[in-house]
Amino acid sequence: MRERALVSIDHRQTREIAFADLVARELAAAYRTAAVLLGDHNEAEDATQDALVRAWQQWARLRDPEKAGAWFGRILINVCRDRLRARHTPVRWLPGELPGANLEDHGEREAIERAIGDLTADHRIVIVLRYYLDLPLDAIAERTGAPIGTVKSRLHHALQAVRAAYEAQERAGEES
Amino acid sequence: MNERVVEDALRATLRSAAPLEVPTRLVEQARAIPRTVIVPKRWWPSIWSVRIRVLAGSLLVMAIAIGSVAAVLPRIAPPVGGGKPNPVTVESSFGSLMASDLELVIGNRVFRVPGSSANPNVQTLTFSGSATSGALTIAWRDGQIPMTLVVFFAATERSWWVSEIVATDGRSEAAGWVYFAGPIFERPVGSLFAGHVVLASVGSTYGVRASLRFGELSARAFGSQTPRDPTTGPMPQPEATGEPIPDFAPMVSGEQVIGYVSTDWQGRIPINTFRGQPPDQPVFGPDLKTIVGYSVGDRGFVPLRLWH
Repeated sequence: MRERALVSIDHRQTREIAFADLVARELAAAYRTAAVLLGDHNEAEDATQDALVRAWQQWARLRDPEKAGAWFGRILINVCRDRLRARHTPVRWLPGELPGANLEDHGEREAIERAIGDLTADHRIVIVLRYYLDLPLDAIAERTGAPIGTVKSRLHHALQAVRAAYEAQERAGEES
Repeated sequence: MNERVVEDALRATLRSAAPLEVPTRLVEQARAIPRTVIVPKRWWPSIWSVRIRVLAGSLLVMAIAIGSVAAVLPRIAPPVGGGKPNPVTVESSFGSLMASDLELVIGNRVFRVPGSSANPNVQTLTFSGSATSGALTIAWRDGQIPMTLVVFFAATERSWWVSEIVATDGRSEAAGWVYFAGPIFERPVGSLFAGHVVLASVGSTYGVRASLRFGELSARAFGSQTPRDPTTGPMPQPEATGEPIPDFAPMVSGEQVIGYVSTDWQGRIPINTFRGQPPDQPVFGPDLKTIVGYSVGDRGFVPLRLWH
């Protein structure tokens, strides 16, 4: 009669390897996402580190290793949301590192930056997930833990604020 | 105002805010987390931990009772695996397998599998494969006993694993095989498997029992190949040339397909030196991963449930 072949595996090393895989795959994207969300590279570094520490400590809760990337993405968003909510004043973004960035009018870019800086934490998160990471609505809902209707509503209001700022800047440019 | 214009401007602004370089310090800190961050333990017991503690307590009482009886009986088996570690390092373009210790225990005898081709007792050490399968073969002499260990690897586009391990059973003449069934060690393609592993044999030619112990095993395979999903087809004819050879051929009994046999491994296993019979072939199910039985010389297909 055959019996179970595998008697034992020490999962500690397996977990370390899986975590190293996660770092290799997700670190750069996580750091950039945190920087765009928080508007501060130093704080993004701290937030990414915090998220990785939480991921390591909560690794036992990861049910499906194939979905480690999305699971870590949720942790990162939670960490960034906590940091955004803890702020008492809006933080301006650092100057962009991509020269040109396809925006001919720097005034319009500054207007958009100001508008994003004034958004609530939840509105800023959906804007970044949708227009920086290009995630579909269902993935944003999964990443933020919000119902898809709420995501749509937040996206609508956030986009409305950005559009208003953009149009105001455009009108000001025409008048001057 | 065209909504698309605002969305494009938004995308451009967000992308310009993303830093290009990831700080080296962050990368180093991230890699150090498993060594430096302690995973906190809950101070309150869960219902499961209470159950486990009760069970462990019961087992401890039983173990003490059994130990008391065993202490007064004569010892009939020598201790196993008490010697120095036997490290293994095998690397090739196809893959790598490293372990701090590797022992094959058959009955009461311990065979230390030699860890590199530099060992003078090693006769064959190869680690190679194709896009869907591969094998690590180590043949060596343990005193007067010729020994062979073969670790079979398989892969799809998504993952790789060890499909089976076979080893000779330690007889100096007319040796048989011991079998360790897979699939085990499954990992995504490109990832490393790591862990302490103990395997128990699931069958053998002459009914012996065996175990295989890897200490601190780390293994990776299909490094030189881009794995793809295996293909099935009719068994290739010996004279056929230039035709693509399937990875698996159906094994048919009467009108019924009872499994699939790897065509790649067939020519590589030196099993025909044993008992003068054709190779014992593992037969896989329709997923081409799970072993459902063996094609055994003189006996035909033997399902797993009949294997002993």
